[in-house]
Amino acid sequence: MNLASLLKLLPVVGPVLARGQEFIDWYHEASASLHLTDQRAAQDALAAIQAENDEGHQRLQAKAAAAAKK
Amino acid sequence: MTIRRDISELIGALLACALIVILAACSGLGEPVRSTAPAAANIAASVADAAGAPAPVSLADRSVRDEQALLALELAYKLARTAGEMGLDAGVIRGQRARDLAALDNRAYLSVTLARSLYTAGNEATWHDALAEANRAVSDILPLLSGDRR
Repeated sequence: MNLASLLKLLPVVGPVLARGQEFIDWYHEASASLHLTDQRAAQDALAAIQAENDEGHQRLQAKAAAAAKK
Repeated sequence: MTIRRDISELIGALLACALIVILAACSGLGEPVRSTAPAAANIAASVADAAGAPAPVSLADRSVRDEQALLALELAYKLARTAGEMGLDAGVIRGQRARDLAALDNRAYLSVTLARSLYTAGNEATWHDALAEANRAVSDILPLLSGDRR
């Protein structure tokens, strides 16, 4: 593989690598949240992920609308 | 292109994780009830459920298992939408596929928010149906992300 073809891959590889930590964090979050036995802590974790999903949903919709035009 | 196949494989692996969470939600995860609500409230809710009547107490007061079931659903949705966002960022989802993703994500999100509302409202029978429906809606995103549906 030459440098030119490697550079062409960067736009594809970059987002994947950037998301790597996000998936690792997701795994830890899932492991921790699903083993909570204290109701208060479970409710707090629920409120946090709900806020995150609300924001993430809006973001995905905006990106999908832009990608639909391509 | 190899890298695109790698992305598909990565997404496939992530989706397998999402399915595990979904299955866990359906099978009723978690520790035994350690509720902060009085035992009488749980009994009243059970009686109401048995009679098919709306429960007189919020599910939020009933058990940690309910929070965990909703948490599992929210986590599955988070994983599916993150994988979708990754596909959009990488440019592997675009055009009609992006429109399909938007529609499926909207349906899943609305189902998740309905499950949240019914959980808060507190009727156990309706809540469980909504939870199952939301899990199905989140699962419906997965084939599109893994490339099985274009």
